[in-house]
Amino acid sequence: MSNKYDLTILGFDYKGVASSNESKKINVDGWEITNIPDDSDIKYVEKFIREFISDIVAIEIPTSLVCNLRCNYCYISDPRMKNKDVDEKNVNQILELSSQMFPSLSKDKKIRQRNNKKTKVYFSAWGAEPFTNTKTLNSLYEFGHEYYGKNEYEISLSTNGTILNDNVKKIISNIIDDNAFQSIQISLDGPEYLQNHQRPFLNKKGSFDAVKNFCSFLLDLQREKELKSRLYSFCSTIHLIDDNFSENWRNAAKFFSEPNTWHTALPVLPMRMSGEDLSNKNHINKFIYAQKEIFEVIKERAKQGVTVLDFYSNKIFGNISCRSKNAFPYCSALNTQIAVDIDGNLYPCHGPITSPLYKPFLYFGNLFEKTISYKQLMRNMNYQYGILWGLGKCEKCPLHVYGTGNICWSCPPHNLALTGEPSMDSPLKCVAYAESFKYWIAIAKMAFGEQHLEHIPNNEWFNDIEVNYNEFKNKILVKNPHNNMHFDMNYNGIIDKALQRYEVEEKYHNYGDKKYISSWWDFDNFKNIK
Amino acid sequence: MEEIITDEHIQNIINNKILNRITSIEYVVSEKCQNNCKYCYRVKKHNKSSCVYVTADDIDLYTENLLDIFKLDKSFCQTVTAELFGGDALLDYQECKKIIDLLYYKYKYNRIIIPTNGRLINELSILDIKDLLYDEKNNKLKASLSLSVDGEINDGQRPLSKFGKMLQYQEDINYDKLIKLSQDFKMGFHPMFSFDNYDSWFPTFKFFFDKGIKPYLLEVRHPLDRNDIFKCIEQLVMIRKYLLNKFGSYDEIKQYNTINPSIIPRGLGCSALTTLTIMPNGDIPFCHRLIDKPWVMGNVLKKEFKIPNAINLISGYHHANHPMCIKCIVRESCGGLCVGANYEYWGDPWTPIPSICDYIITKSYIMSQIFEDWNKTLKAKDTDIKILREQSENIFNNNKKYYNQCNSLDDYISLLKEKEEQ
Repeated sequence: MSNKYDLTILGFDYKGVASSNESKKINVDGWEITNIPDDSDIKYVEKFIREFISDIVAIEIPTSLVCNLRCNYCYISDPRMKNKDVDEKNVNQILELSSQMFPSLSKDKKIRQRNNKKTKVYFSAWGAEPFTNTKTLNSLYEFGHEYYGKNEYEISLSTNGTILNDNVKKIISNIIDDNAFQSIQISLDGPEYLQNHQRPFLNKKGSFDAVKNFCSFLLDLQREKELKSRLYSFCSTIHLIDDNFSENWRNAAKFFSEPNTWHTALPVLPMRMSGEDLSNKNHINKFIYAQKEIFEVIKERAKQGVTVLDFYSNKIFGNISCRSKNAFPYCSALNTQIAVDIDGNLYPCHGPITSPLYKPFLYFGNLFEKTISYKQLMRNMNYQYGILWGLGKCEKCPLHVYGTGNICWSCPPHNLALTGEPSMDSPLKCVAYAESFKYWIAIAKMAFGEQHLEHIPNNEWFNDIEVNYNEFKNKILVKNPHNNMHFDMNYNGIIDKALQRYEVEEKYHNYGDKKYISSWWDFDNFKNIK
Repeated sequence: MEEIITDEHIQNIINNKILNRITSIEYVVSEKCQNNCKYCYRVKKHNKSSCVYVTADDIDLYTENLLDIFKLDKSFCQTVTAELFGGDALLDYQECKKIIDLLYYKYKYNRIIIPTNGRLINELSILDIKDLLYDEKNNKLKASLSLSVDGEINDGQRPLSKFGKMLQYQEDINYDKLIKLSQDFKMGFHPMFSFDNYDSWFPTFKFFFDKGIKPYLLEVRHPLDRNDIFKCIEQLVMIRKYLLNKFGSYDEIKQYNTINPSIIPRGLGCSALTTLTIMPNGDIPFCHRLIDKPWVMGNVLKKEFKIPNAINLISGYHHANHPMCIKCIVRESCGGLCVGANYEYWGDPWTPIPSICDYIITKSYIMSQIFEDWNKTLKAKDTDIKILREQSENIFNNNKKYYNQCNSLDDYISLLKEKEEQ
């Protein structure tokens, strides 16, 4: 059963003369490890699996596969995946087995401590919309509360913020009392016309008022429980395909940067482009133009004394809710987190759970059967980390040279959507990003103070942007940006993690002085076609 | 809204990131073969395929459409090589002749190369071969052949297929004839070194070399028993020693790829990144081995071309940037593995096969201890020989089934140094 899904389902009959027999099986800490090629070094396999299992502190669970909205950019293309009942029994089985099979999720705090410095465990309730199924959500809360106790677990969820009833109110209140919510992420795309256009209910009615009501409840709850920070944050998606993309982008920027309202999202604006591939010049132009528009909005706000960063500038230069460093991304999938489907199947993240066509690529085991397919786990590790094979293209890109964070990395499920291959993203996106970079630098300079980004030459990237940064000298976002921004040129982010994954002994690393990047742009002029 | 990125920008990207790297157009003209070689990855595909041979009209259409997709004219062909690939590219004499003439006279390709198993020309008359390959009027070759035959000692690993038997081919190859033809028609030889048949490597090389042929050596990089690594290396050492005795100079042995470190500026040691392959169904895959949909960049019949996929695959891929290679001690002197073999092994083309990596690492160390030129190359690439030795020793100590008399890797190397070539 461990080979439940493989590429052959999609017609990719990949096995051939170079395939090894996979007759070996081993047992590692209760897991049966299958599909081990016969020429593998078993000691290495055992060590690899043990470290992987030990690092898992977070589980994504689809507690609900029902959604009451039909957003026009939703990546879940199969409507059944938004109309499927999830049983409490499945969720409970996932929770119980996860705590048994992953030592960092053990009920016993001492076992957790042996594996990880931090003992907190994390559960992510993923959907469709988690509040459509309060039974499973309550199971999640009860498990955390009874099994680990207050302060020892955390639940994260992203909601459309349109369902508010007594059950929902009670669950939220309980989780807050256990100090198990960092913040609830609410999907709000922007002003009323935009939210109602992009995120309608099933009956086509707009969802703006419902979200407003949800936020109002959370603000009241914050006051009632005397909490210092707001209980919610926003995630906004602007549909690139829409003819009015740039206008919507600008209007959303104005909406979220309006100070002292329930929808204020300062200092970092939440808008992101929907997940299209920027594969044609029209889309690329729309995106660049939208960055120009948002730059103008932010400049106006800055003149009014309101400091604002957009989503991308923050990811590249800031550190607010951003864990990537030194132009390399951070992703918890297969690193500290995995996703478990309702049938117990294991995946790196929630992506394939709601996009089932990706399952043959991303499946690597089954929790209920306590099996891990070594070959398929290795394949997934490569999708996650091996993507570096294409990183040479970044060598001279300004985002890589001058940025300290990362907006470019595209995850395996997203890559499957873009190119049909799990480790290939779209280099045309690079064109859009590189051309937009000048606006993001200008925004960052306004927010952080020009002096902290003075190593980025103005003449190269600012030739058509006029900003008098002296106007903003005393209005910088943080006093010492160098300490707060992730300037750590010795940190290799995903590279380090990837190397740890494949070979633990550091002495074998051979990537000093950035050798890992080999030129891309310079070696291509074989024939010099103009 | 102003147009910041124009069609011209996009065409420049296509030129700079795709077309500037392409030095060959490879047409897969057949999915049937007279042979059923034991190590051949295509046998399984051939058995499933119904394509015996494409027509010259098809090749004409593919070429017209390919030029159309990239907005090129026929002069482009004069800057690149055309290759015909199979199955066996010479399976259908008449059609192959038409295709060669089409590519030679109409498109005027810079060169035309045809790898073949030699079965057809083994049984053809000289006049028929001349008719196929020679331009009488201009007194020059239209196309040159590269013969994939492994020498008499290895004929057992390249038996006739049912298809070959059906066509009434004879099992035996007349090597005297092939060698004579190779001199008359400037044919090359590329015998395959299979890990399953390592004892034959040196005799195979000697078979060709003693007949005045400098074969292009190709390891079939499929997973292997680590114990066999040291048997394989022994054979390579023998070939090197044999050549050094003949020539007395390292310069003379540089052309034999398998017995040298692979220094490539970027990408892969094979021709995948500089070749556009066109399959019989019109698909343009990464290479003729990695042909499943996720690695298909377009289709000439549908006039489709996925620019992002092509940029990634043709221009973006560099094997040495894979994390398993970043940490590898011989990263700078390894040409990478066969991505098609990786795909068959993992289901992912980009992850190397560990037992082959161990073979390459060990081979590098042992060669560097026996041959000065290899040692210099590793040093020039800042290779940490101490770590390379440590890793090679581990591999040897755990896998010395055939060399139990050796207490250490040093003993094994001494044994190789002392061994005389036969």
